[in-house]
Amino acid sequence: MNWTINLMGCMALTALTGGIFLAAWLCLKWAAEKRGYIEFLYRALWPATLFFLVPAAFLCCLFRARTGEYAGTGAWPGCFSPSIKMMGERAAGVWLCGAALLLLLYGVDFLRYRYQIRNKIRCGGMKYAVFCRTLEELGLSEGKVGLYESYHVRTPMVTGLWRPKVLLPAGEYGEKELQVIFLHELSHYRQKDLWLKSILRMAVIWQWFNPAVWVLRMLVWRWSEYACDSCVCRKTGKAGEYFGVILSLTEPARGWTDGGRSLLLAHKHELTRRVEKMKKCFKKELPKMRWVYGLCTALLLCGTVSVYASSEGLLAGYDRWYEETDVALEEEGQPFEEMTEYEETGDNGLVEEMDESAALQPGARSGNMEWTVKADKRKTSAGFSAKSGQTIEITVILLPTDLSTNVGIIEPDGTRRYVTGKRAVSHDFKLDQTGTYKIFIENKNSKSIKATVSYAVK
Amino acid sequence: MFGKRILSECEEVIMKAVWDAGEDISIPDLITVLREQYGKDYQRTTVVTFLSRLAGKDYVETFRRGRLSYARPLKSEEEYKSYLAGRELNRWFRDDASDYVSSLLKERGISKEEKEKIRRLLDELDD
Repeated sequence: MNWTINLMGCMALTALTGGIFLAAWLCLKWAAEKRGYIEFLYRALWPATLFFLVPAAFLCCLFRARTGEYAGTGAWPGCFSPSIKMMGERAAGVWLCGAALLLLLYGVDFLRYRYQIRNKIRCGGMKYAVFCRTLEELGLSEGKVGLYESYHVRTPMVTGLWRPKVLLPAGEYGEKELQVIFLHELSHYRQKDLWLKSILRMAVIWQWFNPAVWVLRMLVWRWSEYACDSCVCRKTGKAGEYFGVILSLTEPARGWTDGGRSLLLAHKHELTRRVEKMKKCFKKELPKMRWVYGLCTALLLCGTVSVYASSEGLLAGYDRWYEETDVALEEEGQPFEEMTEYEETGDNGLVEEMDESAALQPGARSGNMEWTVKADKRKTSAGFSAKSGQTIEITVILLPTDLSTNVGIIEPDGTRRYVTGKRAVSHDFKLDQTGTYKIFIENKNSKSIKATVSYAVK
Repeated sequence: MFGKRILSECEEVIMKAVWDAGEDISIPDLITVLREQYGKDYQRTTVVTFLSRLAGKDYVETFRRGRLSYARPLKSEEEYKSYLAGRELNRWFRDDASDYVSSLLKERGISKEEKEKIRRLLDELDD
Protein backbone atom coordinates (compact mmCIF):
# COMPACT_ATOMS: atom_id res chain seq x y z
CA MET A 1 0.00 0.00 0.00
CA ASN A 2 1.32 3.43 -0.92
CA TRP A 3 0.44 4.95 2.45
CA THR A 4 3.19 2.94 4.13
CA ILE A 5 5.78 4.27 1.69
CA ASN A 6 4.48 7.80 2.14
CA LEU A 7 4.67 7.33 5.93
CA MET A 8 8.27 6.10 5.76
CA GLY A 9 9.19 8.89 3.37
CA CYS A 10 7.55 11.43 5.65
CA MET A 11 9.46 10.11 8.67
CA ALA A 12 12.76 10.01 6.81
CA LEU A 13 12.36 13.61 5.65
CA THR A 14 11.35 14.77 9.12
CA ALA A 15 14.34 12.96 10.61
CA LEU A 16 16.57 14.68 8.05
CA THR A 17 15.30 18.21 8.64
CA GLY A 18 15.25 17.69 12.41
CA GLY A 19 18.79 16.37 12.31
CA ILE A 20 19.96 19.35 10.24
CA PHE A 21 18.35 21.78 12.68
CA LEU A 22 19.87 19.97 15.64
CA ALA A 23 23.30 20.10 14.00
CA ALA A 24 22.77 23.85 13.44
CA TRP A 25 21.86 24.23 17.12
CA LEU A 26 25.04 22.44 18.16
CA CYS A 27 27.10 24.81 15.99
CA LEU A 28 25.23 27.74 17.49
CA LYS A 29 25.88 26.40 20.98
CA TRP A 30 29.59 26.26 20.30
CA ALA A 31 29.53 29.95 19.32
CA ALA A 32 26.96 31.31 21.76
CA GLU A 33 27.48 29.40 25.01
CA LYS A 34 30.49 31.30 26.24
CA ARG A 35 28.86 34.62 25.49
CA GLY A 36 26.18 33.75 28.03
CA TYR A 37 23.26 33.00 25.69
CA ILE A 38 22.08 30.16 27.90
CA GLU A 39 18.40 31.07 27.96
CA PHE A 40 18.36 31.89 24.25
CA LEU A 41 20.00 28.54 23.41
CA TYR A 42 17.35 26.77 25.45
CA ARG A 43 14.56 28.61 23.62
CA ALA A 44 16.20 27.64 20.33
CA LEU A 45 15.52 24.01 21.23
CA TRP A 46 11.81 24.69 20.66
CA PRO A 47 12.06 24.94 16.85
CA ALA A 48 14.50 22.00 16.86
CA THR A 49 11.87 19.91 18.63
CA LEU A 50 9.14 21.08 16.29
CA PHE A 51 11.23 20.19 13.24
CA PHE A 52 11.43 16.63 14.55
CA LEU A 53 7.66 16.48 14.88
CA VAL A 54 6.15 18.51 12.05
CA PRO A 55 6.76 16.94 8.60
CA ALA A 56 7.48 20.32 7.01
CA ALA A 57 9.66 18.93 4.21
CA PHE A 58 7.13 16.23 3.31
CA LEU A 59 4.28 18.74 3.20
CA CYS A 60 6.47 20.97 1.05
CA CYS A 61 7.01 17.99 -1.31
CA LEU A 62 3.29 17.34 -1.59
CA PHE A 63 2.55 21.01 -2.21
CA ARG A 64 5.20 21.34 -4.90
CA ALA A 65 4.18 18.06 -6.54
CA ARG A 66 0.71 19.47 -7.01
CA THR A 67 1.39 23.10 -7.78
CA GLY A 68 5.02 23.64 -8.73
CA GLU A 69 7.27 22.50 -11.52
CA TYR A 70 6.61 18.87 -10.69
CA ALA A 71 2.84 19.22 -11.02
CA GLY A 72 1.13 16.96 -13.51
CA THR A 73 4.14 14.71 -14.07
CA GLY A 74 2.58 11.98 -11.97
CA ALA A 75 5.98 11.47 -10.44
CA TRP A 76 5.00 12.05 -6.80
CA PRO A 77 3.61 10.45 -4.76
CA GLY A 78 3.69 7.98 -7.51
CA CYS A 79 4.39 4.42 -8.29
CA PHE A 80 6.78 2.01 -6.70
CA SER A 81 7.94 -1.46 -7.51
CA PRO A 82 6.39 -4.35 -5.54
CA SER A 83 9.65 -4.91 -3.64
CA ILE A 84 9.73 -1.30 -2.43
CA LYS A 85 6.07 -1.54 -1.43
CA MET A 86 6.83 -4.66 0.58
CA MET A 87 9.79 -2.98 2.27
CA GLY A 88 7.56 -0.03 3.13
CA GLU A 89 4.96 -2.28 4.71
CA ARG A 90 7.53 -4.11 6.82
CA ALA A 91 9.21 -0.89 7.93
CA ALA A 92 5.81 0.55 8.87
CA GLY A 93 5.12 -2.57 10.94
CA VAL A 94 8.40 -2.25 12.83
CA TRP A 95 7.79 1.45 13.44
CA LEU A 96 4.29 0.76 14.77
CA CYS A 97 5.66 -1.79 17.25
CA GLY A 98 8.27 0.65 18.54
CA ALA A 99 5.79 3.50 18.81
CA ALA A 100 3.26 1.31 20.63
CA LEU A 101 5.90 0.20 23.13
CA LEU A 102 6.91 3.80 23.82
CA LEU A 103 3.29 4.82 24.24
CA LEU A 104 2.91 2.05 26.78
CA LEU A 105 6.01 3.16 28.70
CA TYR A 106 4.81 6.75 28.75
CA GLY A 107 1.43 5.54 29.93
CA VAL A 108 3.05 3.69 32.83
CA ASP A 109 5.11 6.81 33.61
CA PHE A 110 1.91 8.84 33.67
CA LEU A 111 0.23 6.44 36.08
CA ARG A 112 3.27 6.54 38.36
CA TYR A 113 3.25 10.32 38.29
CA ARG A 114 -0.49 10.47 39.09
CA TYR A 115 -0.01 8.06 41.96
CA GLN A 116 2.84 10.15 43.29
CA ILE A 117 0.93 13.41 43.36
CA ARG A 118 -2.37 11.93 44.46
CA ASN A 119 -2.21 13.40 47.98
CA LYS A 120 -1.35 17.06 48.22
CA ILE A 121 -1.99 19.67 50.87
CA ARG A 122 -2.51 23.32 50.08
CA CYS A 123 0.20 25.51 51.57
CA GLY A 124 -0.49 28.52 53.69
CA GLY A 125 1.32 30.79 56.08
CA MET A 126 4.91 31.81 55.41
CA LYS A 127 5.32 29.44 52.48
CA TYR A 128 2.43 31.01 50.62
CA ALA A 129 3.58 34.54 51.46
CA VAL A 130 7.06 33.91 49.97
CA PHE A 131 5.41 32.22 47.01
CA CYS A 132 3.25 35.27 46.28
CA ARG A 133 6.26 37.58 46.56
CA THR A 134 8.15 35.43 44.08
CA LEU A 135 5.20 35.41 41.68
CA GLU A 136 5.16 39.18 41.76
CA GLU A 137 8.93 39.36 41.26
CA LEU A 138 8.65 37.23 38.13
CA GLY A 139 5.67 39.16 36.80
CA LEU A 140 3.21 36.29 37.23
CA SER A 141 -0.27 36.79 38.59
CA GLU A 142 -1.46 35.08 41.74
CA GLY A 143 -3.80 32.22 41.04
CA LYS A 144 -2.09 31.06 37.84
CA VAL A 145 0.06 28.57 39.73
CA GLY A 146 -0.99 26.69 42.87
CA LEU A 147 1.25 25.81 45.80
CA TYR A 148 1.00 22.46 47.58
CA GLU A 149 3.07 20.21 49.74
CA SER A 150 3.06 16.47 49.85
CA TYR A 151 4.51 13.59 51.84
CA HIS A 152 4.95 11.63 48.62
CA VAL A 153 7.36 13.83 46.67
CA ARG A 154 11.06 13.92 47.45
CA THR A 155 12.08 17.09 45.64
CA PRO A 156 10.29 20.34 44.78
CA MET A 157 8.71 20.23 41.38
CA VAL A 158 6.34 22.04 39.08
CA THR A 159 3.75 19.95 37.32
CA GLY A 160 0.43 20.18 35.49
CA LEU A 161 -0.07 21.47 31.96
CA TRP A 162 -3.56 22.87 32.42
CA ARG A 163 -3.52 23.52 36.16
CA PRO A 164 0.11 24.12 36.99
CA LYS A 165 1.19 23.74 40.57
CA VAL A 166 4.39 23.76 42.56
CA LEU A 167 4.75 20.78 44.86
CA LEU A 168 7.03 20.83 47.88
CA PRO A 169 8.08 17.90 50.02
CA ALA A 170 6.22 18.38 53.31
CA GLY A 171 8.48 19.92 55.94
CA GLU A 172 9.97 23.10 57.34
CA TYR A 173 11.89 25.57 55.21
CA GLY A 174 13.76 28.79 55.76
CA GLU A 175 12.71 31.90 53.84
CA LYS A 176 15.89 31.88 51.74
CA GLU A 177 15.36 28.22 50.84
CA LEU A 178 11.78 28.89 49.80
CA GLN A 179 12.85 31.84 47.67
CA VAL A 180 15.42 29.73 45.80
CA ILE A 181 12.96 26.88 45.32
CA PHE A 182 10.14 29.08 44.07
CA LEU A 183 12.39 31.12 41.77
CA HIS A 184 13.63 27.90 40.21
CA GLU A 185 10.27 26.17 39.85
CA LEU A 186 8.45 29.26 38.61
CA SER A 187 11.23 29.78 36.06
CA HIS A 188 10.42 26.30 34.76
CA TYR A 189 6.79 27.38 34.51
CA ARG A 190 7.68 30.65 32.75
CA GLN A 191 9.86 28.80 30.24
CA LYS A 192 6.91 26.47 29.55
CA ASP A 193 9.16 23.46 30.10
CA LEU A 194 6.26 21.06 30.60
CA TRP A 195 4.81 22.05 27.23
CA LEU A 196 8.14 21.51 25.53
CA LYS A 197 8.52 18.12 27.22
CA SER A 198 5.03 17.15 26.01
CA ILE A 199 5.89 18.08 22.43
CA LEU A 200 9.21 16.30 22.78
CA ARG A 201 7.42 13.19 24.01
CA MET A 202 5.38 13.13 20.79
CA ALA A 203 8.51 13.67 18.71
CA VAL A 204 10.23 10.75 20.48
CA ILE A 205 7.28 8.44 19.78
CA TRP A 206 7.18 9.60 16.15
CA GLN A 207 10.96 9.36 15.60
CA TRP A 208 12.00 6.71 18.11
CA PHE A 209 14.33 5.03 15.59
CA ASN A 210 16.31 8.26 15.15
CA PRO A 211 19.25 8.63 17.59
CA ALA A 212 19.19 12.41 17.05
CA VAL A 213 15.81 12.70 18.79
CA TRP A 214 17.20 10.98 21.89
CA VAL A 215 20.14 13.39 21.83
CA LEU A 216 17.61 16.22 21.61
CA ARG A 217 15.71 14.80 24.59
CA MET A 218 18.86 14.75 26.69
CA LEU A 219 19.67 18.33 25.60
CA VAL A 220 16.18 19.58 26.48
CA TRP A 221 16.35 18.00 29.95
CA ARG A 222 19.76 19.49 30.67
CA TRP A 223 19.31 22.90 29.11
CA SER A 224 15.95 23.49 30.80
CA GLU A 225 17.87 23.31 34.10
CA TYR A 226 20.73 25.46 32.83
CA ALA A 227 18.26 28.12 31.65
CA CYS A 228 16.46 28.06 35.01
CA ASP A 229 19.70 28.32 36.91
CA SER A 230 20.81 31.20 34.70
CA CYS A 231 17.52 33.02 35.21
CA VAL A 232 17.63 32.61 39.00
CA CYS A 233 21.30 33.56 39.27
CA ARG A 234 20.63 36.69 37.25
CA LYS A 235 17.66 37.61 39.48
CA THR A 236 19.48 37.01 42.75
CA GLY A 237 22.95 37.96 41.51
CA LYS A 238 24.39 35.24 43.73
CA ALA A 239 25.06 32.00 41.91
CA GLY A 240 27.13 30.54 44.75
CA GLU A 241 24.40 31.15 47.28
CA TYR A 242 21.75 29.69 45.00
CA PHE A 243 23.58 26.41 44.44
CA GLY A 244 24.61 26.35 48.09
CA VAL A 245 20.94 26.30 49.06
CA ILE A 246 20.21 23.48 46.59
CA LEU A 247 23.16 21.51 47.96
CA SER A 248 22.00 21.98 51.54
CA LEU A 249 18.57 20.71 50.58
CA THR A 250 20.10 17.41 49.52
CA GLU A 251 21.43 16.64 53.00
CA PRO A 252 20.14 13.25 54.22
CA ALA A 253 18.43 14.91 57.17
CA ARG A 254 16.02 16.57 54.75
CA GLY A 255 14.99 13.13 53.51
CA TRP A 256 14.85 14.27 49.93
CA THR A 257 17.12 11.77 48.25
CA ASP A 258 17.98 8.13 48.70
CA GLY A 259 21.47 8.97 49.95
CA GLY A 260 23.97 7.55 47.49
CA ARG A 261 21.62 5.53 45.36
CA SER A 262 21.60 6.98 41.89
CA LEU A 263 19.00 5.12 39.89
CA LEU A 264 19.15 7.22 36.77
CA LEU A 265 22.52 7.31 35.03
CA ALA A 266 21.29 10.12 32.80
CA HIS A 267 21.09 12.36 35.88
CA LYS A 268 24.27 11.27 37.57
CA HIS A 269 26.46 14.23 38.55
CA GLU A 270 23.61 16.50 37.50
CA LEU A 271 24.29 19.17 40.12
CA THR A 272 28.04 19.20 39.43
CA ARG A 273 27.32 19.67 35.75
CA ARG A 274 24.96 22.56 36.42
CA VAL A 275 27.44 24.33 38.68
CA GLU A 276 30.22 23.88 36.14
CA LYS A 277 27.98 25.23 33.38
CA MET A 278 27.17 28.36 35.38
CA LYS A 279 30.83 28.82 36.22
CA LYS A 280 31.73 28.65 32.54
CA CYS A 281 28.87 30.51 30.93
CA PHE A 282 27.01 32.70 33.39
CA LYS A 283 27.08 36.39 32.62
CA LYS A 284 25.43 38.87 34.91
CA GLU A 285 24.50 41.14 32.03
CA LEU A 286 22.03 40.11 29.33
CA PRO A 287 23.60 39.72 25.88
CA LYS A 288 23.17 42.49 23.30
CA MET A 289 19.94 42.23 21.33
CA ARG A 290 21.60 42.53 17.91
CA TRP A 291 23.39 39.26 18.60
CA VAL A 292 20.10 37.65 19.54
CA TYR A 293 18.40 38.89 16.35
CA GLY A 294 21.34 37.70 14.29
CA LEU A 295 21.23 34.24 15.85
CA CYS A 296 17.46 34.02 15.40
CA THR A 297 17.80 34.92 11.74
CA ALA A 298 20.54 32.33 11.27
CA LEU A 299 18.39 29.64 12.84
CA LEU A 300 15.34 30.60 10.80
CA LEU A 301 17.35 30.54 7.58
CA CYS A 302 18.80 27.18 8.47
CA GLY A 303 15.35 25.73 9.07
CA THR A 304 13.83 27.13 5.91
CA VAL A 305 16.74 26.14 3.71
CA SER A 306 16.84 22.61 5.09
CA VAL A 307 13.10 22.14 4.48
CA TYR A 308 13.25 23.50 0.95
CA ALA A 309 16.48 21.71 0.06
CA SER A 310 15.32 18.32 1.28
CA SER A 311 12.00 18.62 -0.56
CA GLU A 312 13.77 19.77 -3.76
CA GLY A 313 16.31 16.98 -3.44
CA LEU A 314 13.65 14.34 -2.96
CA LEU A 315 11.42 15.51 -5.82
CA ALA A 316 14.29 15.90 -8.28
CA GLY A 317 15.82 12.59 -7.28
CA TYR A 318 12.54 10.73 -7.53
CA ASP A 319 11.76 12.30 -10.89
CA ARG A 320 15.11 11.15 -12.29
CA TRP A 321 14.76 7.66 -10.82
CA TYR A 322 11.25 7.37 -12.23
CA GLU A 323 12.44 8.31 -15.76
CA GLU A 324 15.44 6.02 -15.76
CA THR A 325 13.94 2.92 -14.22
CA ASP A 326 12.07 0.31 -16.21
CA VAL A 327 9.44 -0.73 -13.74
CA ALA A 328 6.53 -2.94 -14.61
CA LEU A 329 3.61 -0.87 -13.47
CA GLU A 330 0.34 -2.30 -12.43
CA GLU A 331 -2.24 0.20 -11.31
CA GLU A 332 -4.07 -1.45 -8.43
CA GLY A 333 -7.71 -1.80 -9.04
CA GLN A 334 -7.68 0.25 -12.20
CA PRO A 335 -10.00 -1.44 -14.71
CA PHE A 336 -8.68 -2.20 -18.19
CA GLU A 337 -10.42 -0.49 -21.05
CA GLU A 338 -12.80 -2.50 -23.15
CA MET A 339 -10.89 -3.41 -26.36
CA THR A 340 -12.03 -3.98 -29.90
CA GLU A 341 -11.41 -7.52 -31.08
CA TYR A 342 -10.12 -8.13 -34.57
CA GLU A 343 -9.94 -11.27 -36.70
CA GLU A 344 -7.38 -12.17 -39.31
CA THR A 345 -6.56 -15.19 -41.37
CA GLY A 346 -3.68 -16.06 -43.66
CA ASP A 347 -0.16 -14.68 -43.76
CA ASN A 348 0.28 -11.03 -42.78
CA GLY A 349 4.01 -10.90 -43.53
CA LEU A 350 5.27 -11.34 -39.98
CA VAL A 351 7.79 -14.07 -39.23
CA GLU A 352 6.44 -16.47 -36.66
CA GLU A 353 8.57 -17.93 -33.90
CA MET A 354 7.39 -20.44 -31.41
CA ASP A 355 8.10 -20.27 -27.70
CA GLU A 356 9.34 -23.74 -26.84
CA SER A 357 10.95 -22.72 -23.56
CA ALA A 358 7.83 -23.33 -21.52
CA ALA A 359 5.94 -26.28 -22.97
CA LEU A 360 2.32 -26.00 -21.99
CA GLN A 361 0.61 -29.13 -20.74
CA PRO A 362 -2.41 -30.14 -22.79
CA GLY A 363 -4.62 -29.89 -19.74
CA ALA A 364 -3.11 -26.65 -18.40
CA ARG A 365 -5.74 -24.18 -17.24
CA SER A 366 -3.38 -21.24 -16.79
CA GLY A 367 0.18 -20.16 -17.37
CA ASN A 368 2.75 -17.35 -17.30
CA MET A 369 5.43 -16.49 -19.84
CA GLU A 370 8.17 -13.89 -20.19
CA TRP A 371 8.74 -13.13 -23.85
CA THR A 372 10.99 -10.92 -25.89
CA VAL A 373 9.38 -10.31 -29.25
CA LYS A 374 11.71 -8.87 -31.89
CA ALA A 375 10.71 -6.28 -34.44
CA ASP A 376 8.33 -7.50 -37.16
CA LYS A 377 7.90 -10.87 -35.52
CA ARG A 378 5.02 -12.87 -34.10
CA LYS A 379 5.73 -15.00 -31.07
CA THR A 380 3.44 -17.95 -30.47
CA SER A 381 3.00 -20.23 -27.49
CA ALA A 382 2.76 -23.99 -27.59
CA GLY A 383 -0.77 -25.34 -28.06
CA PHE A 384 -3.20 -26.05 -25.24
CA SER A 385 -6.71 -27.50 -25.20
CA ALA A 386 -9.88 -25.56 -24.72
CA LYS A 387 -13.55 -26.17 -25.40
CA SER A 388 -16.30 -24.26 -27.05
CA GLY A 389 -18.14 -22.06 -24.55
CA GLN A 390 -15.02 -21.46 -22.45
CA THR A 391 -13.11 -18.20 -22.21
CA ILE A 392 -9.39 -17.54 -22.49
CA GLU A 393 -8.43 -14.57 -20.29
CA ILE A 394 -5.14 -12.96 -21.29
CA THR A 395 -3.25 -10.19 -19.47
CA VAL A 396 -0.03 -8.84 -20.94
CA ILE A 397 2.32 -6.17 -19.54
CA LEU A 398 4.44 -4.58 -22.27
CA LEU A 399 7.70 -2.68 -22.24
CA PRO A 400 8.45 -0.14 -23.57
CA THR A 401 5.09 1.28 -22.67
CA ASP A 402 4.60 3.40 -25.77
CA LEU A 403 4.70 0.70 -28.47
CA SER A 404 1.43 -0.61 -29.85
CA THR A 405 1.25 -4.42 -29.96
CA ASN A 406 -1.27 -7.09 -31.06
CA VAL A 407 -2.16 -9.69 -28.43
CA GLY A 408 -4.46 -12.60 -29.15
CA ILE A 409 -5.19 -16.26 -29.70
CA ILE A 410 -4.89 -18.61 -32.67
CA GLU A 411 -7.99 -20.79 -33.00
CA PRO A 412 -7.93 -24.45 -34.02
CA ASP A 413 -8.76 -23.47 -37.61
CA GLY A 414 -5.85 -21.01 -37.78
CA THR A 415 -7.88 -17.82 -37.39
CA ARG A 416 -6.07 -15.16 -35.42
CA ARG A 417 -8.22 -13.12 -33.03
CA TYR A 418 -6.48 -10.22 -31.34
CA VAL A 419 -6.73 -6.89 -29.60
CA THR A 420 -4.31 -3.97 -29.96
CA GLY A 421 -2.92 -2.01 -27.03
CA LYS A 422 0.06 -0.43 -25.26
CA ARG A 423 1.60 -0.84 -21.85
CA ALA A 424 -1.01 -3.20 -20.33
CA VAL A 425 -3.47 -5.29 -22.34
CA SER A 426 -6.20 -7.50 -20.98
CA HIS A 427 -9.02 -9.25 -22.84
CA ASP A 428 -11.35 -12.23 -22.54
CA PHE A 429 -11.68 -14.26 -25.72
CA LYS A 430 -14.93 -16.22 -25.81
CA LEU A 431 -14.46 -19.55 -27.59
CA ASP A 432 -16.83 -21.12 -30.09
CA GLN A 433 -14.63 -24.06 -31.09
CA THR A 434 -13.18 -27.04 -29.28
CA GLY A 435 -9.57 -27.86 -30.04
CA THR A 436 -5.99 -26.68 -29.62
CA TYR A 437 -5.41 -22.97 -29.11
CA LYS A 438 -2.28 -20.87 -28.99
CA ILE A 439 -1.48 -17.44 -27.63
CA PHE A 440 0.44 -14.98 -29.77
CA ILE A 441 1.95 -11.50 -29.68
CA GLU A 442 2.70 -9.54 -32.86
CA ASN A 443 5.31 -6.78 -32.81
CA LYS A 444 4.97 -4.56 -35.87
CA ASN A 445 7.33 -1.95 -34.44
CA SER A 446 10.95 -1.31 -35.25
CA LYS A 447 12.12 -2.17 -31.71
CA SER A 448 11.93 -5.33 -29.61
CA ILE A 449 9.38 -5.51 -26.89
CA LYS A 450 9.31 -7.41 -23.60
CA ALA A 451 6.04 -9.00 -22.59
CA THR A 452 4.90 -10.59 -19.35
CA VAL A 453 2.03 -12.83 -20.36
CA SER A 454 -0.46 -14.56 -18.13
CA TYR A 455 -3.46 -16.50 -19.32
CA ALA A 456 -6.23 -18.63 -17.88
CA VAL A 457 -8.88 -20.86 -19.42
CA LYS A 458 -12.25 -20.60 -17.74
CA MET B 1 4.42 0.09 63.57
CA PHE B 2 2.46 1.47 60.68
CA GLY B 3 1.37 -1.75 59.06
CA LYS B 4 -0.78 -1.09 56.07
CA ARG B 5 -1.92 2.29 57.36
CA ILE B 6 -1.23 4.71 54.60
CA LEU B 7 -3.29 7.85 54.96
CA SER B 8 -5.76 9.14 52.42
CA GLU B 9 -5.53 12.73 51.17
CA CYS B 10 -8.03 14.09 53.70
CA GLU B 11 -6.43 12.19 56.56
CA GLU B 12 -3.02 13.57 55.62
CA VAL B 13 -4.36 17.15 55.68
CA ILE B 14 -5.80 16.65 59.13
CA MET B 15 -2.65 15.01 60.44
CA LYS B 16 -0.58 17.83 58.98
CA ALA B 17 -2.69 20.35 60.85
CA VAL B 18 -2.33 18.32 64.05
CA TRP B 19 1.43 18.02 63.62
CA ASP B 20 1.85 21.72 62.75
CA ALA B 21 -0.02 22.68 65.91
CA GLY B 22 2.91 21.26 67.88
CA GLU B 23 0.71 20.47 70.86
CA ASP B 24 -2.75 19.15 71.65
CA ILE B 25 -5.28 20.92 69.47
CA SER B 26 -8.97 21.33 70.11
CA ILE B 27 -11.53 20.37 67.51
CA PRO B 28 -12.81 23.94 66.94
CA ASP B 29 -9.23 25.18 66.50
CA LEU B 30 -8.52 22.31 64.15
CA ILE B 31 -11.56 23.20 62.04
CA THR B 32 -10.43 26.83 61.88
CA VAL B 33 -6.89 25.92 60.88
CA LEU B 34 -8.14 23.52 58.21
CA ARG B 35 -10.34 26.22 56.73
CA GLU B 36 -7.95 29.14 56.92
CA GLN B 37 -4.64 27.49 56.18
CA TYR B 38 -5.49 24.48 54.07
CA GLY B 39 -8.66 25.62 52.34
CA LYS B 40 -10.68 22.68 53.67
CA ASP B 41 -14.06 23.80 54.94
CA TYR B 42 -15.05 20.67 56.86
CA GLN B 43 -18.04 20.36 59.14
CA ARG B 44 -17.41 19.31 62.72
CA THR B 45 -18.90 15.87 62.10
CA THR B 46 -16.53 15.34 59.17
CA VAL B 47 -13.49 16.24 61.24
CA VAL B 48 -14.64 14.03 64.10
CA THR B 49 -15.16 11.13 61.69
CA PHE B 50 -11.70 11.52 60.24
CA LEU B 51 -10.18 11.77 63.70
CA SER B 52 -11.85 8.57 64.77
CA ARG B 53 -10.46 6.85 61.66
CA LEU B 54 -7.03 8.21 62.45
CA ALA B 55 -7.40 6.99 66.02
CA GLY B 56 -8.27 3.56 64.66
CA LYS B 57 -5.01 3.66 62.69
CA ASP B 58 -3.13 4.74 65.87
CA TYR B 59 -2.09 8.12 64.50
CA VAL B 60 -3.92 10.24 67.06
CA GLU B 61 -5.75 9.90 70.31
CA THR B 62 -8.70 12.08 71.19
CA PHE B 63 -9.74 13.11 74.70
CA ARG B 64 -11.92 15.61 76.46
CA ARG B 65 -10.57 18.46 78.54
CA GLY B 66 -13.27 20.60 80.06
CA ARG B 67 -15.95 21.32 77.48
CA LEU B 68 -13.75 20.68 74.43
CA SER B 69 -12.41 17.61 72.69
CA TYR B 70 -8.73 17.53 71.77
CA ALA B 71 -6.49 15.58 69.41
CA ARG B 72 -2.93 14.53 70.22
CA PRO B 73 -0.60 12.88 67.70
CA LEU B 74 0.69 9.43 68.62
CA LYS B 75 3.21 9.30 65.80
CA SER B 76 5.47 12.11 64.66
CA GLU B 77 5.62 13.61 61.21
CA GLU B 78 9.21 12.41 60.80
CA GLU B 79 8.20 8.85 61.60
CA TYR B 80 5.50 9.02 58.95
CA LYS B 81 7.90 10.45 56.36
CA SER B 82 10.48 7.76 57.12
CA TYR B 83 7.81 5.11 56.80
CA LEU B 84 6.77 6.44 53.39
CA ALA B 85 10.38 6.65 52.24
CA GLY B 86 10.93 3.02 53.17
CA ARG B 87 7.88 1.58 51.47
CA GLU B 88 8.93 -0.35 48.38
CA LEU B 89 5.64 0.32 46.65
CA ASN B 90 6.06 4.02 47.15
CA ARG B 91 9.58 3.88 45.75
CA TRP B 92 8.37 2.08 42.65
CA PHE B 93 5.68 4.62 42.01
CA ARG B 94 7.81 7.61 42.82
CA ASP B 95 9.74 9.08 39.97
CA ASP B 96 10.82 12.66 40.35
CA ALA B 97 12.57 12.42 36.98
CA SER B 98 9.30 11.75 35.21
CA ASP B 99 8.57 13.51 31.92
CA TYR B 100 5.48 15.01 33.49
CA VAL B 101 7.29 17.14 36.05
CA SER B 102 10.15 19.63 36.15
CA SER B 103 11.90 19.11 39.47
CA LEU B 104 14.57 21.04 41.28
CA LEU B 105 16.96 18.11 41.26
CA LYS B 106 16.67 14.76 39.53
CA GLU B 107 19.81 13.20 40.91
CA ARG B 108 18.91 10.71 43.61
CA GLY B 109 22.12 10.47 45.55
CA ILE B 110 25.10 12.81 45.84
CA SER B 111 28.20 11.29 47.33
CA LYS B 112 30.40 13.07 49.90
CA GLU B 113 33.20 13.45 47.38
CA GLU B 114 30.88 15.06 44.89
CA LYS B 115 29.51 17.41 47.52
CA GLU B 116 33.06 18.49 48.33
CA LYS B 117 33.73 19.06 44.65
CA ILE B 118 30.59 21.16 44.33
CA ARG B 119 31.51 23.21 47.41
CA ARG B 120 34.93 23.95 45.88
CA LEU B 121 33.25 25.04 42.63
CA LEU B 122 30.86 27.26 44.57
CA ASP B 123 33.76 28.96 46.31
CA GLU B 124 35.20 29.80 42.88
CA LEU B 125 31.92 31.17 41.55
CA ASP B 126 32.11 34.92 41.25
CA ASP B 127 29.42 36.26 43.51
